[in-house]
Amino acid sequence: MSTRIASLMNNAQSLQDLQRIKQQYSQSTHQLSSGKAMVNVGDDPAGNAKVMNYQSSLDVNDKHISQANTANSRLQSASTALTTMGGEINRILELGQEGMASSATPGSQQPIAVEVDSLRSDLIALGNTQEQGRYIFSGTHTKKVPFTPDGVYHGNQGVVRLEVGTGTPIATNIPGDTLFFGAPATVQGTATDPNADLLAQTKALSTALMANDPGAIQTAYKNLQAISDRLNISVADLGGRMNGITAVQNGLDAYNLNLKTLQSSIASADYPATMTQLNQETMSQQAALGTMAKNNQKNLFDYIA
Amino acid sequence: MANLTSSLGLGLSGLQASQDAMGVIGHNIANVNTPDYSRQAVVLTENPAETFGNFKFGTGVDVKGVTALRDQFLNLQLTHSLASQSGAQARYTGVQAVSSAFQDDGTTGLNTQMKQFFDSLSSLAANPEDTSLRQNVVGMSTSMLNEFKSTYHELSSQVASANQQVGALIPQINTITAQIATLNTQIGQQLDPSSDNDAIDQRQKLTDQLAGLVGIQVSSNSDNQFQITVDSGAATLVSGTTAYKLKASPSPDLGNNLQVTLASDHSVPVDVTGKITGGTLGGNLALRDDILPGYENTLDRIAGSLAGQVNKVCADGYGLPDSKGNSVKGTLLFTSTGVPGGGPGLDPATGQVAAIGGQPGYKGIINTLTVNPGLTGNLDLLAASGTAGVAGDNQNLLKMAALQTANGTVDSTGSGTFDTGPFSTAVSSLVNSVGTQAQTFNTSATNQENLTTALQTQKSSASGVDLDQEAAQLLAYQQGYQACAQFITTISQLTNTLMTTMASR
Repeated sequence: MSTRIASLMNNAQSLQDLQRIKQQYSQSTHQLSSGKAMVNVGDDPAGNAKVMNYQSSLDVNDKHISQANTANSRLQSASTALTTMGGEINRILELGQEGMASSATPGSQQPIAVEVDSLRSDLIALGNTQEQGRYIFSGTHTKKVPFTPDGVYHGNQGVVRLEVGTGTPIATNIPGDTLFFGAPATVQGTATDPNADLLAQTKALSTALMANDPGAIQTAYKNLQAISDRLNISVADLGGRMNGITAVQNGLDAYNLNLKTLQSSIASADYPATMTQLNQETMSQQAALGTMAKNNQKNLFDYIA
Repeated sequence: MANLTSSLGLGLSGLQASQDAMGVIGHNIANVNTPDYSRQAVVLTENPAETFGNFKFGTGVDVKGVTALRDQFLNLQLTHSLASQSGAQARYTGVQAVSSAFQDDGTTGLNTQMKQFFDSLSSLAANPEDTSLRQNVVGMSTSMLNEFKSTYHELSSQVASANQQVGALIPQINTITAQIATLNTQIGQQLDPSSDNDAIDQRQKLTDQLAGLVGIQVSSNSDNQFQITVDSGAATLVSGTTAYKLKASPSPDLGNNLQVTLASDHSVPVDVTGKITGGTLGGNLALRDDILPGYENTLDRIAGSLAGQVNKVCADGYGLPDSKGNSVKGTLLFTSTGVPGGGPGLDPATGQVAAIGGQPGYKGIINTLTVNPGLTGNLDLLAASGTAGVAGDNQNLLKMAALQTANGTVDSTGSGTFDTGPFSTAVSSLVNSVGTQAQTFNTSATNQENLTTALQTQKSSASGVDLDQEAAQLLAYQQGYQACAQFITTISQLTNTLMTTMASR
């Protein structure tokens, strides 16, 4: 059986084929120039949804990484202040030992007492450490000076937490009363246990040294030793928190890398494959153009002379 | 028995038949590039024989008519295919036009703006007392709302464009239906209603054009006149010699968009707005009344849910304390402005989407949303703290920031039940819907285009002009004409010979 081929048919069919090839060619060119596999949201809706979901996870992870950086910076500031405090307390303990020495005289105790007073002032200054204009040891009363020169605490027990993972809040501060008093302060801002009060015991040591009272010096020394041990635990606590945050950051970084790889495998243009396709489309286009040029060049009328 | 004179008649009938046939061939050749032209052919038949004694002698050839070679079944299929193709194409064009508004390249896009909003809350959570970071939250909130509004505006613009197209299509449709009715009259007036081939071709061409504009069903009556109804069969556009006009007029029920009605026999207009699916008109009506409003509703619900959820947390929080240590409780982050009475908006007291008719009034709420002007004037009011009188507390901010990844935050059905989430997933689903519909309509349009091409090829195979065939037939009739002319010359010579012989006697 033969099919009639009307004169218009070939051109119409070839034109439609050529238009489709040009459309695919344009798509491939766009993919190569943009580096994206999906130029429009309708190119691959399922792939696009996956890319957006990966991006949402990346966004949340990036936010947590950013929060973890901030938390680490906060804890680092507190840790630095606590390490300095530890040095100051060690010096106070050294001075206390000097004061307890059998060779000590009222004359030799006085300069020691002066140095202890000076160190106490340093401790108060450290307790009033600021980072970006906020007091880091005043709980959530970050605008209030935590410690007055008389050792009264004006902060609160508030804990500033940051989310370093979904549902993973990390405390980024130590309230000043917990640090200096070992327990929440009274309503008046004083320690519930004077023996655990760093500033009070430093003052007691200074006073005992001035009075050359060996018994009082020894009592203050022992209390300060216990306070020093307590501060060391706080330093270890901060270190532990920072290690935990670093572990979370590393985990999030690795997860992000994985997500980005998956996202890229869908969203990025596959250059070798797209180039190959572009070459095929170029050939198809040339073939279609050649065919159209040949179409209906001749018919029977050309031969009727 | 044929005599010389009657033999001249024989030759003459052959000459005339060949001439007519060549005329038809010329008509075919002239229309080789005319769309929808159906190739014509003469119908030749031998004249009745004359009886002489016991014998019958032929009397030549006669042209019985000119027929067009067309397949009415193919034409009907093609009409239907054209309507489906243009309907899918219109839908694809509309969805594709708005799809760019949903693209997210990491710097613009709804999800990017929402991420930046939640990032700003997290940044403030690290420094709740920082005024510049509070300003940043206000700025990012504004940017996010602007992105919602911008996307919504794209949708609204496309709805308006579809509505304009509906208005522009109606006169075109009415012009064509009137022309079809006129041709129906012309065709029906013929003794043989199938004889006016060129009018029938013109009518088919107009019918195909009409199908591209509006989905139709076509049938013929006994006078070969077309009866055309809209594709649902709900109303008649052409009935024989009468065309019924479509009319587009603004309707309050459609938000002042155009309602399409059809004047019926009884002059009671029939509302056909929701009863046309095919053609460009059907495509634009679907875009305007169904597809794009669906996207708008989803966007309204996501934005309304987001504003409501954030406000809910704000209501429990406290601002920065003043110099006396007092802080203001429950300042909302998002409010609505310029809300006409009874229209959509956030309840000024609770910050939640206000109910309209017992249901949350999400529709159109995006355009009313704004950052609380009271807050922009006094950044200290931002309810960052979970405790009164405390500057450094960030508990409320953490709750707000946690909404980014929380489930059960989006009211996907508009019923007041927060049944899905997180917000980014709701936006991704919407983008996926847009992409899937764009792909579906594109595939559908391509499939219909393929079908149309296949049908046109079949139709062309049956009805199109093939110049080779016309040339071959021209040669045949040319030779026939020459032979008849030669025959007449021969008879003429014989007559002359006879006359000369008779004269010489």
